[in-house]
Amino acid sequence: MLKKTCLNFLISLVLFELAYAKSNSGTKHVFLGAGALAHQFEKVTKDRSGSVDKVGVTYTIVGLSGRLSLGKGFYFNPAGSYTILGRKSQDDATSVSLLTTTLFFTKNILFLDFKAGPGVLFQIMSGKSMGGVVRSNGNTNSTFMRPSYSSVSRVLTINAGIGVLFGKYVRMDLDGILAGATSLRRTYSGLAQVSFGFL
Amino acid sequence: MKSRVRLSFYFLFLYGSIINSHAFTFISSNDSNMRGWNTASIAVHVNYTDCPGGEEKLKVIIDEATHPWNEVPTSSLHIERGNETTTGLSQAIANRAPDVPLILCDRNLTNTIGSNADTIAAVSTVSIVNGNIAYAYILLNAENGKSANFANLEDKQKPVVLAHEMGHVLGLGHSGEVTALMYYSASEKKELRLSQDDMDGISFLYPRDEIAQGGIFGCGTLSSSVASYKGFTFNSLTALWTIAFLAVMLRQLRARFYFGRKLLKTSQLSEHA
Repeated sequence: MLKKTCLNFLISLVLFELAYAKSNSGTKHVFLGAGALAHQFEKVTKDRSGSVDKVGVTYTIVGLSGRLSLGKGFYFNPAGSYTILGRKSQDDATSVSLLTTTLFFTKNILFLDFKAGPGVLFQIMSGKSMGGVVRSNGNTNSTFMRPSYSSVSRVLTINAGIGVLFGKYVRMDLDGILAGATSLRRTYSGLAQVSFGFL
Repeated sequence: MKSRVRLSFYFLFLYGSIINSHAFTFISSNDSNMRGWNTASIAVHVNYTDCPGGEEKLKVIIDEATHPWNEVPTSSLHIERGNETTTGLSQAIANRAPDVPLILCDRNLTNTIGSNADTIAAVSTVSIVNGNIAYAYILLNAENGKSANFANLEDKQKPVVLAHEMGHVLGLGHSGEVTALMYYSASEKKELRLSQDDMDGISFLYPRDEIAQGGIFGCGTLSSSVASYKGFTFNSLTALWTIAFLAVMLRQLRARFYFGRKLLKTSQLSEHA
């Protein structure tokens, strides 16, 4: 069901991009790309000593973005990316995938796009109904259940980044994602993506 | 230049292909569909009687232990130290404590748990009713002569052990990840930090939904009643894409009228000529 939601979102993004790409012929307006998302810099511990993982968890992403001219070098850039492989537990009991959506407003200077805008980060977690697992518990062992349902977090983000245009067809984007800006939950993530214009 | 772009593309793809693992569990031994408490805002009440080290020190330790759980970006959980309570041990064990979750100090833990408390600094008990946690308490080892007496732990270990027990009270079972706070032997952990697995577990039980909770950026303009499909509300998508579509529509309409008028003027001029 959640995969379906992601698919729906990507389809709506494609339709949306097609809708305005048609009316702005000349340059490429729709880009499809792939890259990496480093989620939560310096937020989680990586070993028993408690040292933090500077990069966080990295994912492979596929992304779709649009580029609509608003005039005078300003552009409107809706963008979305999905962690296509996601991440799974060792025992395959749960999987996690992320979907990022952003509405960038961009200022183009020469071959650089300076962009910023609001977004929503979806974290989709699915339990695979694998039953219980026996683990140590005090002086004995106990059974602990593994999840059998899905859970979705939706976090508002503030995104900013730079896009480098290599001619008409290729662009590279480096984005920073800030979540929980005004709270203790504040975290930074980074996204790097190479895209190819096809419309 | 093309090959350079291709190379960076491959690099990014390979870099992102590293898949981390995790393995959180629920505290329940038979309910894989369990949720946490029916609220994400939880106050832990404390009876300081018999607690080793005194009330003030324990307050600091409890506050410290709550911090990592409150800093998970994808979770809505907020746990804090609640009021002091007079609820006693016998009342808590009999499931009759009016103010839960609860922390108590036990001077006879060996007797309470029915096994040697020499290696157990704290234990927690959680009751689940209709899929939700309804009752929970933590017992700190205050038994004289026991090496695992809470007072005998290193200062850095105390909040780690308590945060681990809080994890149980919140609904998490033991993790298979040795880096996790919820790994069965939390006392070996020296720093009070969560692993990705702990964060996944707590986000699973208490997912954050900033769109449904308070509208976009806290403005409250978009409530949670927009649309839902099998429990997945479309508020965020609806809101963002409505704004996007309106912006594009306005832009297109403006462009069309502008070019229409321009064409009209051009044809009138050519007619005059």
